Amino acid sequence: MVRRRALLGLFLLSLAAAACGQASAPQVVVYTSEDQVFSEPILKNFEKSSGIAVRAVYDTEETKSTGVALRIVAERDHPQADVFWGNEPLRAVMLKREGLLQPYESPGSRDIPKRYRDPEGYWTGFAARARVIVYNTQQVKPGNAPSSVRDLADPRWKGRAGLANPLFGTTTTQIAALFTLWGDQTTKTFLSAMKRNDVKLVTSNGEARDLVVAGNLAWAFADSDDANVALEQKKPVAVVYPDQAGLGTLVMPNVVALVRGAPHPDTAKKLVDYLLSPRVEARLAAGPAAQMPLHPGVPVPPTVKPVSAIKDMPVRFAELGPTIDQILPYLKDWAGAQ
Amino acid sequence: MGLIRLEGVHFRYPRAPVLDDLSLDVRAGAVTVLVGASGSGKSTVLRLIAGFEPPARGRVVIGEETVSRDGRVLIPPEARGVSLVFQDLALWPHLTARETLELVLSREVPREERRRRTEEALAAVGLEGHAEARPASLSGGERQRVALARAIVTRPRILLMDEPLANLDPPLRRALIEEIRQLQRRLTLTILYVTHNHEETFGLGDHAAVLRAGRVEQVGPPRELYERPRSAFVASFLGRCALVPARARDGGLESALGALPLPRPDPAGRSELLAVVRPEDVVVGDDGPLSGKVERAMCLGSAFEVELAGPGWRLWALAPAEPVPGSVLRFAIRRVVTVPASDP
Amino acid sequence: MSAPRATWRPTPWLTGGLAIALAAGALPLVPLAVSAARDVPALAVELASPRAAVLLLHTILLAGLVALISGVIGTGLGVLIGKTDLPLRMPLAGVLTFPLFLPPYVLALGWFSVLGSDGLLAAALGPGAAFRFFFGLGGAVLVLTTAYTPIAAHLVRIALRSIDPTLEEAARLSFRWPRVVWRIDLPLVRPAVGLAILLAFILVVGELGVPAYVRYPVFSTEVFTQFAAFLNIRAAVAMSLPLALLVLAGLGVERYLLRDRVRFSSAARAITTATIPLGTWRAPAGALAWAYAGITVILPLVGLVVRAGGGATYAAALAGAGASLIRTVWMAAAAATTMVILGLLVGYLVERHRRSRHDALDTLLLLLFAAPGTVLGVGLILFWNRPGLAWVYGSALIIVVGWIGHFTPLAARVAGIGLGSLAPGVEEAARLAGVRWERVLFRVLVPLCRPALAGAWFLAFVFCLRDLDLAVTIYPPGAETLPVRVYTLMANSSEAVTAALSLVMVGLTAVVLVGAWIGLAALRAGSRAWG
Repeated sequence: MVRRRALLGLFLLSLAAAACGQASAPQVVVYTSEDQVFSEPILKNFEKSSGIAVRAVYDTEETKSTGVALRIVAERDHPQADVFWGNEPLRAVMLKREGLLQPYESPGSRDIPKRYRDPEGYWTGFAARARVIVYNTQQVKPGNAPSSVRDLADPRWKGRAGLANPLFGTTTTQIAALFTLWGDQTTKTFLSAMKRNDVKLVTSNGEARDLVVAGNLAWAFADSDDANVALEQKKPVAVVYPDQAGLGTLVMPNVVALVRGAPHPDTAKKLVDYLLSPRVEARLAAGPAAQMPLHPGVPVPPTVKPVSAIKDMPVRFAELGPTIDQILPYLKDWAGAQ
Repeated sequence: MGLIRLEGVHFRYPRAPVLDDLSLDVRAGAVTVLVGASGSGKSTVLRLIAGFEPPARGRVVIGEETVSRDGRVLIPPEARGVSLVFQDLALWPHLTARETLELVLSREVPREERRRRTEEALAAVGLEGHAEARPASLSGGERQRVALARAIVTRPRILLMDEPLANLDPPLRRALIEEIRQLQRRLTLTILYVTHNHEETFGLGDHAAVLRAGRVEQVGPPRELYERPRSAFVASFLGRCALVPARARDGGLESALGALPLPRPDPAGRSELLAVVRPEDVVVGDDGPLSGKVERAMCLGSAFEVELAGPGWRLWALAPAEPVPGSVLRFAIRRVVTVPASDP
Repeated sequence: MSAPRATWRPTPWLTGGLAIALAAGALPLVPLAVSAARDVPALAVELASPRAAVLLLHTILLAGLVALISGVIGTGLGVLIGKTDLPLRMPLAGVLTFPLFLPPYVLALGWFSVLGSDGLLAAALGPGAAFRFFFGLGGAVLVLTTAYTPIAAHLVRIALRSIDPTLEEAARLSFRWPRVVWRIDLPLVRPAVGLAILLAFILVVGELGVPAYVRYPVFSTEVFTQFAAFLNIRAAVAMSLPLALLVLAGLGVERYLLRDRVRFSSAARAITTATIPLGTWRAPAGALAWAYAGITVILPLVGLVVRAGGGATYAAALAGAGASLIRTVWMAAAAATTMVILGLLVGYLVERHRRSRHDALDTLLLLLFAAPGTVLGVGLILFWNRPGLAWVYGSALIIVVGWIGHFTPLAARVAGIGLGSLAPGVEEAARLAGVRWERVLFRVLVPLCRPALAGAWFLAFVFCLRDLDLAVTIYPPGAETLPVRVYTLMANSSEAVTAALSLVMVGLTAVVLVGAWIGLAALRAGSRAWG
C-alpha cells in the first residue's frame, strides 16, 4: 500500500514538474524555418553574447510537418513567439497579410537592398540562397547541362528532371516569381508543358538533391545550400545558376520579422538586430550553409557567389501577396493531377 | 488386467498435488470411481491418462500400448481414443451444440454419418430441441449434457469424467446418474469417474479407488470399501462413522464403549485398533445396554442424525424423532468394523 | 443491519478524472469540428470533385490492403510467437517490433536504400534489379505493411494468453494442434485480430509521409496542403471530415463483423495456456519467421546503416539527441501510465457494461485516435493557448495532454481485450461480498488481465515516443521530443546523417523499451515478494 502511494506521489510530482519550467530570466522565443543545422549555432551565439536565453522552435523539411508559420497562425489569439525567422520571404508575406506581424525598422536593415525587404518594415531579408540546378555529372556532360528553368519543359529531359512540390517551401516562391514575371498565361502554359514532360515531383529540395546524387534523376532544382551539402561531400554533382543570360537566378533571402503581440518585445528587437548584423551574414556565408550576404562588403569564402556576382531575378517579394492567393489553388490541382 | 493401467506414477505440478508412486488398474467395460479429498490428485490422474502431461516417472498404459512414460508423452491426446468431461465443462462458447458435436467428429467421418451420429448423441442426452443453442443460452444441466454428448459422440473406448455433476440439483443429478449408467451399459464404455460425492460413488461405481496424498489407499467395489475399509481414512471418507479406539483381546474388542463384537481378527495380528461405528449400526431404544448424552441433532430429512457422547467416546446414531439436547439416550451397537489404529 | 449501501458503480473521482483527462485532449476538437462543418458547403466543390474521389479511393485501397495483409501476416506471427516453441521467439518478437518505433517515413528511407537504383539490391545484383514498383502503390503497401504488422502480432499474442486452456484441451482430445488453433483459438481471438486490422486501417488513412515519398497521392495530402500551403486551419479541418467518415465506416465494419463475438470466454485460470510443440516443423517455421524478420526489419535497417557510414556521423547524431530523449521518455511514460488507467476505465465500461452510450464513447475515442496529429494539435493550441493556462500550454504538460487525448483509445481497446475475456462471476462474487468498486477493479480484474494491460502500456508508450505530427505542432519552444529533434536535424543534413539519426532513434527506443520491460518484470517480482 505504501509503495503504491509512493509511486502515485512520484507520478503526480513528475506531472507537476512538467508543468513548471517557465524561466524568469530574460528570454526570447523564436520560430524559425531555417534549417536547424544552420540556425542553431547562430542562436546559441546570440545567447552567449547577449545573456538572453533563446527558446526556439525549429522546422522540419517542407512536407514532414506543417511548419512554424502555421503555428504562428494558430497562436494568433495569444502569441507565444517573439521572432519569426523564415528561410524564404513568401511565408512572411502571408503572415503579414494575416496581420500577424508588427513593423520594426532595425538599424541592421538599412543596408539591405530595398528589393529584399518589406517597404513598410514588417520583414527584412538577409543571408540569401539561390534557386539552382543540380545535375548528376555521370549522366550529364557540362556542355550539355540544363541552364534555364525552361529546361524543365524541354523534351530532351523528359522524365529525368525533378522539382520539389510547388505547394511547399522555396519552390512556391520560385513558381510565384515566374507568375509575376511571365504573367499568368505564359506560366500556366509552361507548367502544362512541364507536366507533359513528366517532371518528377518530389517531397523536398533535399530529396531532389538526393535523387540526383543517386542517379535516379539527371537533374533537379534545389536551393544553393542543399546543393552545397552535396558538393562538400564530393558527390558526383555540379551546380548551375540558371538563366544567367536571361531572366536571372532567383535569389531568396532568409527573412526575420517581429510577431505582433510578442510576449518579450525588447529582447525580440535585440535578436532581430543581431540577426541582421553583417557578422551573422558572414557566419552563414562561411559555414556549410553557404548563404549569400545581402549587406554590402561582407567577406565570402571562394565557394560562395556574392549577390553582386550573379544576375538575380527582378522579383519584388513584397508584391507576391496577391499572386499567392491566385496560384495556390491552381498549383494544388496541377501538383495533384499527376 | 485393466484397460488402463498406471504403474508407479510420480507427478508434481508447481503449486499442485503430488502423485507419489501411484498404481491403478481401471477395468474395461466398467465404471471405476476415483474418490478422494479435494487436492488429492484425482484430476491430475485424468490429465495423465488423457495425455496433457506425462508422469515424471512411471508408466501409463492404455490397452496394450504404453502411452506415456517417464516424462514423455508417447501417444498424443487425440490418438488415444479418450474423451474427457471437464470439471468446468470447457464448452466452446462460439459453437452451438450441433457444431460442437460435428467438430469433434470431423476427422475421418463422412458428412452423412457425422450428422446421424450428432443426432444420436443429442437424443441420447435429451437435447434434441437445443441443437442450435450456444452455451450462453443453455441452463447448467443442459450444458452438462452438451459436454456429455461431446464426450460420447466420438465413441471413445475410455470416458473420463471429472466431477461432471458437481453443480447440479439432486433430482437432475440422480437423473443424469441414471442416464450415464444406461449409456455406459449400452455402449460398453470404460468410465473413470472422479467425484467426492457419495451418491455418485455408490450409484455409478462398479469399482472405487480411494486416493489419498497421491496414492491409492484402497480399491474395490464401493460396497466392499464401505463394509470392509482398510484404513480409518477410507472408512470415514465413504460415510459418517465414529472411530473408537479399541483393543482386541480374547476374541473380542475392549473399548470405552465396553465390549464390542469383533467381526474377525485383524489380518496383521494387531491388537491396537479403531472400531468403526456407523450410525445405521447404532440401535436407539430404551432397552439398550449403553447410554450417552445427546450433544447435537441434525435433521437429514428422513431421520435425525444424533451425536451422542460418553466418557472417552463419541458417536452418531440415527433417530426417527428429534431428541432433546442434553437428554440421555439408550442404545445398542449391532456391529462394528475394525481398522488399524495407526497408518501402516 | 447498517444503512443501505450506495449503488455499486465507478466512484465519482475516477469517472471525474476520466472525464477531465479526456476532455483535455478531446474538447478542443469540438469548436474546430463545428466550424469545419459550417465550412463544408463552401468546400463542397472541392470535396465532391473527381480528384477528391480519386484520392479517397486511393486512400481506401491503400489502407484496406495494408490492414488486411498486415492482419493476416501479423496473426500468423502472433500464433507462432505466442503459442509455439519457435526457437528464439522472444528476441523475434522484439526484432519484429522495431518498425513500430519509427515514423513510417524512415522505414521508407530504409527500403529505398535497399531497393533503390543505388541501393543494396542493385549493388548486389546489378542495376536491373532495382524495384521499379517501389514508387507507387506497391512501395506504399510494402513499407506500411512492414510498419504495422507488429500491431497484429502483439495483439494476437496477448489475446491468445487469455484463452481458457481447458477449451483447447477439450479440442486436443479430438484433433491435432493445427485444427485446434484454426477452429478454437483463432475464433476466440477474433476481437484482437479485428482491432489490429482496424488500427492499421486508421493509421494508414491518416498517413502522409510514406505516400508522399513514393508519390502515391492520397487524401490526407489535402488536409496537409490546407495547413502548410494555404495556412488555412478551418479548411484543413473541413477536409479531414471525409477521413473521419472513412474511419467511422471502418469502425462500423468492425462492429458488424464482431457483433456476435464471444466475450467472457474464461474464468480465472490456474493453469497457463499450453505451448504447441512444433516438432519437425520447428526448424522450417523458425527459418521462415526469421527470414520474414530479416527481410522486413533487418534489411531496411542494414540499408540505413550502410548509408550512415562511419562512427563520426553517429556521434554527431547522438550529440543532438540526448536531452530530448530523456525528456521524451519520461513524458511518454507518464502519458502511457495515465492512459492505461484511463483505458482500463473505458475498457471496463465498454466491455463489461454493454450500453449504447459506452459504445458511443468508444467511437468518439477512436475518432480522436484517427484524427491527424496536426488537426488535434491545432485544436489543442486554440483551446489551451490562453493567458491563465500557461502552466499547461507553455510546458511539456501540453504534449502529455495531447498524447492522452490522441492515444487513449489504443490503451482502452487493448485493455478491453483482456477485460472482455473474464467471466462476469469474477466481479459479481466480489460485489456480493461488499467489496468497493475500485478494489474489485484493482485487486480482482487488473491482476487477471495483466498481459493485456502491459501490452496497452507498451503500445501507448511506443506510439507516444514515435509521434511526430502532434508533438511538432504543440511542443513548447526549447522542449522538443526526440522525433521532432531527429526530423529538424534531418532537414538539410546529408543522407548519411539522416540515416544515422534514424538508427539512433531506433536504438534509443529499443534501449528504453528493454529497460522498461526489465523494470516492469522487477516490479512484478517485487510485488510478488511483498505478497
